[in-house]
Amino acid sequence: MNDKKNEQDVTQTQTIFRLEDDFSLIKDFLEGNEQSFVKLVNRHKDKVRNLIYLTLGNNYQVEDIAQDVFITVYRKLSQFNFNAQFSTWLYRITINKCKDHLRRAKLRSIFSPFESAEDEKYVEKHDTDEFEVKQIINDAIAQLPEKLRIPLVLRDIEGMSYQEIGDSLGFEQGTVKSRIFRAREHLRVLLEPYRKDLFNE
Amino acid sequence: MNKNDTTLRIKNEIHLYLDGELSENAKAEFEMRLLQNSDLRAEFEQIRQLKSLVAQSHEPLTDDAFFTTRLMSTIAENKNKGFSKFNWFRSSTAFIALTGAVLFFFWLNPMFINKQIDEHKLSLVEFYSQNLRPLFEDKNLTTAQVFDFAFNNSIVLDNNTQHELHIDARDGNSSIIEVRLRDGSVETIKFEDFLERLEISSEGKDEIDSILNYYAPKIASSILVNDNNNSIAVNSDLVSLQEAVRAEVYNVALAHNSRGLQVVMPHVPIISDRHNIAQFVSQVKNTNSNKFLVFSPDTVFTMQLFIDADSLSKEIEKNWEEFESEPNKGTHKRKTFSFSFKAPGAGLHGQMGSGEMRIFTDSISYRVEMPPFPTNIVIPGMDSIQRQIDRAIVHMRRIPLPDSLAGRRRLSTYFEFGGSSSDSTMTFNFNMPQFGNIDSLMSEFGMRRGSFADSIFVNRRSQFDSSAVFFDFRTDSLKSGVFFDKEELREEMQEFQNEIRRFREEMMEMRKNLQPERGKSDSLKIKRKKITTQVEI
Repeated sequence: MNDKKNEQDVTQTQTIFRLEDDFSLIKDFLEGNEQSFVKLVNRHKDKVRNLIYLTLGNNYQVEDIAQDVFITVYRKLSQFNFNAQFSTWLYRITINKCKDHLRRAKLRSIFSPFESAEDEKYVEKHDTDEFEVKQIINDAIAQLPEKLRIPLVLRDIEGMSYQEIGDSLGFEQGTVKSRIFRAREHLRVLLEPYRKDLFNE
Repeated sequence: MNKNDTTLRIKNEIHLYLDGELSENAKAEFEMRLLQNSDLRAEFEQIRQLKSLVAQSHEPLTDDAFFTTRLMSTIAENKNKGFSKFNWFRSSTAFIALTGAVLFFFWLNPMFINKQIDEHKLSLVEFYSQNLRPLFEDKNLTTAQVFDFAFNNSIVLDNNTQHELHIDARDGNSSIIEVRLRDGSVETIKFEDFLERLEISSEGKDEIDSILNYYAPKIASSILVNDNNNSIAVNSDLVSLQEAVRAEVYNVALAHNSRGLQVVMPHVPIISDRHNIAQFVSQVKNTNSNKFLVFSPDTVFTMQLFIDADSLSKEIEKNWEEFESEPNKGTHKRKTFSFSFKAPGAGLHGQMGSGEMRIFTDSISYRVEMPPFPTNIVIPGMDSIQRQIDRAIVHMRRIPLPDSLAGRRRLSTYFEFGGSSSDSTMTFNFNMPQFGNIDSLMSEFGMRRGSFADSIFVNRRSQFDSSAVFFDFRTDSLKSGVFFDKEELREEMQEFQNEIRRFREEMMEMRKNLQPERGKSDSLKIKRKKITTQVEI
């Protein structure tokens, strides 16, 4: 690699190298090399686990869902289309698994409405007393509707671009954009009681 | 582009800039604007801080060193069980097998669901019909209550909750039995007033009393309640009982003061066919229906209760006598009544009499409509005064409105008094917010306070449209003169007619005032819209 190349070029080269690397690992795996799959998992597992954590808003089921994601990847890798980035495909699977989980949790909560309502109340009260900034922000994020929360955390915490978010969630970029804006507006309303403590005006 | 759109676009740009989604040119342009506009900077700063708060709120999960090991062992385990072939094949096979099993089950037991429904119905009927007892088992049903039942269509079920049983033998084309909350706004005719206005002698009064007393236990045995389960069973005969009481009372009134009755009730001659009345009354007296309508908190259903109505009413009568002779006994011993019942297969929406019955419910009432008792005579209710007034004002029912007032949408070109003879009020829907109350309406149109109009116009706000003001024209209240004599009524009608004429002239005046301004400006359009009149029949 030429030392005189500017920083941008280096990044780009690395990305290309990485892309090829993911692809070659997949090809290797499809040819029967299980070790390539292990490498692929090691490379992406933390990203996937964090993505699940962010999407669910808690870490109770992260490990189980992450395992499930990679089992699905293992079974479906033969269907992978080499036109797209592997990570986009992987994130899409991850988010679909999370959505499935959230849907099931919602269903289950129908049968135990009182219990979960009590729990939430308790946590809320406890946190307000403690007044810890991170906790307040996390609580506010958790209160956002799922369709706003997921794009917001993918953008602001995961640092994904609108394009990547759109690909992972299966939305148009315009939808991603408007959901992120709405999420922030919603968040501002939720944080209004703590405005003085959180924002320097 | 309007101001709102521009603000929204600028706001969106803040997000796009902070998210790094603006093109180089747009970015430079935005930065320039940011320098110039302090409001934009404040907004920008808020969103920037919010974004960084969100970014910092997340603490990444700690590394799970054994994640991959666990994953690979799970994969290995599943692989041994043939998990790669799991997919859709196994689940669809299971689905098909299950569907087949269910279909086979229903093929073997085709009536399974019907049986379940019938069982459920039966248990519902059993639940609501156990421990039924007559509502008036120990408190005497007074003559005034029986009169209320016959002429005001109402029996109070519970004084505390203000629930009443509303029975109307002839409401239009059907008979009605309804359990509902008492409507305090409906004017009623008191028994004493009735006797007084008709100047019925004491013999006549005794005769009417004895009629009402005769029917009291019959009515009492037709209303059964279950206090614990809040269910009420009503014998469908109750509607014909109501007509029979009316017919008999009219008959006595006719014999004692036929002229008076004809003034009050111009339709009574129809029932002067005494033979038919006698036939009808004896028919009602001898009918012993065991069809009950049961109103329960869950549903309304019909069922057959096998009771001997005659012996039950005798028993009730005996109860009343006992109670009256020992009123201070304190805790009057409650009797237990047991009835055997049969829930007809259809149960819930079954046949009642010769035609279909219909059930309506809302938050305050259960209403059952059924075909009226078949008879060839018409026994009028207390609505004839209404008809008299209808006749008197028939020629002024439609008052054309000036074109300028007639509206574009939903609006009518005339002003019409509505209301059928069975309504207690006539309503004209009068969308004129500037006349928020009676006083302003009357002074605007030169009406006097204290006149006839004063007592018959009642205004109320619409609950659906806060800008609309309604004026109800009440024609069936004692206050406004249900029992006028003919002369008095004529004078009042004349007066009212004059007032309406003046009102009409005022409307014409308003039309003239409005005309020069027509089509001038937008604000006028709004003004015109407000003054338009809507008509409700």
